[in-house]
Amino acid sequence: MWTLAIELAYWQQTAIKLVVVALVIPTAALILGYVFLMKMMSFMQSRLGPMEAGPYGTLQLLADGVKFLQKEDVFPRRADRYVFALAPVVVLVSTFLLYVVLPMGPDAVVSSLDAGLFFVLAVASLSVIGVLMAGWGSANKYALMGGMRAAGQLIAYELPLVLAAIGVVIQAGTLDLNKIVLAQANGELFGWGGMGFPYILTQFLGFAIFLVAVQAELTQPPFDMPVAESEIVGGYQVEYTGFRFLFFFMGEFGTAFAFAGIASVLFLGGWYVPGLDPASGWFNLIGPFVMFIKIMAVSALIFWFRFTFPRLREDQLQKLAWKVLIPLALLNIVVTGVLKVLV
Amino acid sequence: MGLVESGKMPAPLTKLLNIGRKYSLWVYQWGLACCAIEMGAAFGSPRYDVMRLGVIPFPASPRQADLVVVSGTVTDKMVPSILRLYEQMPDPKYVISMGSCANCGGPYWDSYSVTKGIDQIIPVDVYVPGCPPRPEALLEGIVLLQERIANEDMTARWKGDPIVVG
Amino acid sequence: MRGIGMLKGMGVTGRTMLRTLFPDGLRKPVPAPSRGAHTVQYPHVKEAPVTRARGVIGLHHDNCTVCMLCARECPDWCIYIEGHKELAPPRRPGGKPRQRAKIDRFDIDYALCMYCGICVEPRVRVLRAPHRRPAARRRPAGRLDGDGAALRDLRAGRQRQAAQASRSVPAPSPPEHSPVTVLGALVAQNIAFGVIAAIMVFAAIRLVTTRNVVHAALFLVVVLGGVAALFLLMGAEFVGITQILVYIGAVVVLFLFGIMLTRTRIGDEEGTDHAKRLPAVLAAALVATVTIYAVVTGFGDAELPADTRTTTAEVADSIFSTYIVPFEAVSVLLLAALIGAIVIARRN
Repeated sequence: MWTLAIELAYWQQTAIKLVVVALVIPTAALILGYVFLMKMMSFMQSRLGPMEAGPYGTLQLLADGVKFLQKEDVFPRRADRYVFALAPVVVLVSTFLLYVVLPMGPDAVVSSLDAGLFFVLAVASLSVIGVLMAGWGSANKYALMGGMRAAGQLIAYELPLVLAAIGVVIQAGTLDLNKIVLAQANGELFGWGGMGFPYILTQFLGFAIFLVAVQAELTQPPFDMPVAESEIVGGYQVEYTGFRFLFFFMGEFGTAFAFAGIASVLFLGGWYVPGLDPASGWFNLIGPFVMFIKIMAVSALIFWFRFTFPRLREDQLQKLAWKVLIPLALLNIVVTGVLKVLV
Repeated sequence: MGLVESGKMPAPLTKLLNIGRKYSLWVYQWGLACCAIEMGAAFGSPRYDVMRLGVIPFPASPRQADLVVVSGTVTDKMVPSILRLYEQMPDPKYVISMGSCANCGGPYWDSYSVTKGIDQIIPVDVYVPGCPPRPEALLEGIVLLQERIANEDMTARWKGDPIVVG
Repeated sequence: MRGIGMLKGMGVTGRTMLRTLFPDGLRKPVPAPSRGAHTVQYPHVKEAPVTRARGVIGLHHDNCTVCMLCARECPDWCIYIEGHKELAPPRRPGGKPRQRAKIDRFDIDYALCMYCGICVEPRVRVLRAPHRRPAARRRPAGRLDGDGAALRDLRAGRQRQAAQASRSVPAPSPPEHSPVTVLGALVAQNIAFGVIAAIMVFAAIRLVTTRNVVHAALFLVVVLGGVAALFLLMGAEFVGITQILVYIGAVVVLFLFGIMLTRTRIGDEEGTDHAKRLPAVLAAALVATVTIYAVVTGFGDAELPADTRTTTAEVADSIFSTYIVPFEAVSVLLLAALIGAIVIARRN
């Protein structure tokens, strides 16, 4: 078996990985923002979206970034300064940590943790702290209400997210994201191993629940009550200007990219493409591209959902989580567990 | 940010910053009367699609806005709110006054309750005439504003004196 | 069924997107959104206005007789006309020279003008020119009078504020999660431990001494995050991550929830201090002594084996084999607490 014969020292690997992750998040935010937020939304509304900044408006978000850096950094007079200033950083850090375990190839992962999926779900819950800090530190009633709504929503939808992923964990028998990919790559479909066994075939219910929960975790329409502009003028983001707002923006789209990546790892087979030996070192090279395509497909689904539906009401949101998604996810776990034992 | 506050900047950097501001005008919509309908047509309808020009009608809060379009009849009672809105926007910020009423009182030029132009309270960058102006007229105003931003010198702007734009 | 309606909705948006992207239909999938979209790209493409469009008002200068009718009819008096009389040569030789009005100035204040066309309608002198560019005017230079001073003051005040903001101290960075994949670098591990421990001790002290309740909760986040980092440092991945998920993600969030729902003041508060400070310190010292004593007598100089990493699988195996009874007991206890909470909440 031929593998890529590059051996680097530990610190070299770490440095490279850190740089890559630090570059990936802004790039991911840019790509998702441009392709989906700008262009896909515009096309769905039969218009063009940004056209002037760069060819077909490709540089629109770069212009946005440059502009945000120039804006005045406003602190409300009664704000809790440190909390206010730190909140976007906390949100962005929780986004960065998501990328630590996201596998882009057999070895192309920052740190292949044993409990990788568990780590993702734990780290995703960190952003709640940042959101609450933002809501409280802004000294603004709308911010506080937005922070509360966000925290309630993130807690409520954390559960279906975890429970939907557990079905996959039961089937793969591991929490390690890379091993989940391998389990799908080595799986067999009715005794035919030609295309592996992406878990979406059995876990389509889990996939649907996972996507809905991700939608809510990202506070995107139709679950955007925490930042509802017509109700609470932007919620916890209401007082943020300039680069601090940019942090929230990047955090949102970086998280969307990361969650789409997790979803494609859990349900779509991750970096594996059918027909190749999953142990081949080539996957370290083509894996990122395969992942990118799958991530874009999942993101397209997420954003398609986002641009189609209007906002729910707050009680409908909670009802959906506790009365529909969680029971369904539990049912999914029970069925998966029973089948796993029986089959 | 202190980036543009201190002294001179090299020309290419100024150019880059200007381009950034030019193509990213997150707009806060201050619709007060009939002009608001035309503004809605310019900002919300696919036919005029202001997002093409980089004018993005997303921000819910003036804290994230770069541009405010005051469109419609400004009454004296509304003035404090407009002033407050303008104060809440972070610098650098731009104002478009849309329609005869916002420009100078328009048909209510002898009314007791109408403010005779919002340039009495906040500095206006571009006036869009008309009663109400067509959406294209607003787009033209935005194009003119972008031309100005592209040639702006931020150091002069940040000296602190009233904005003099020519 | 609600789901079908939702799918239909997504179908509508999806179809619109495809129609915009591929105006020639899916048979010939060439992306041409400029044709597919309804958008008219204004500065590049100009629409021909309809005949009834209310365009910009203009004047046929040759036809004007300075009759002032248009200026008089104008509802907001935006037309300015000045003229003079002059003698024109007689029409026939030998006739009297005719008097004729000549226009010197015709101006419309386009800011005022509503394009209503009342000046146009009864007369033909003034014309509409709908093809003219709907002009937006620039602001004349230096036109800030009177209120300029007030604005200047406000601006200066805000700049001071911004300057203060830029001086604010960067807060302590969040605890680093040391990678545990390589265990050889003991020195690095010790340094990491020292850094994390220092941050934790600082945060713990501030947690007790701060008078701001929310700050206390946030310092608690730092302390608990440090604990998680220490667990990770020792190769106990599962416990470390659980620490983050349970303590930071759930417990402290609930703390913050409670604080924010009950107290909304920002800043220091009276009454967060306690009169029995000394007994509290003594109690803390006692607990610390007992813990340290227990740890030192229990382990002494014993060193951790080089490979202390416990896999999640091992943890799971031991929970579900060796410790199955305590685990189930805890589960039942939690279930009882859950039911109790529901009963209390539904009391009425």
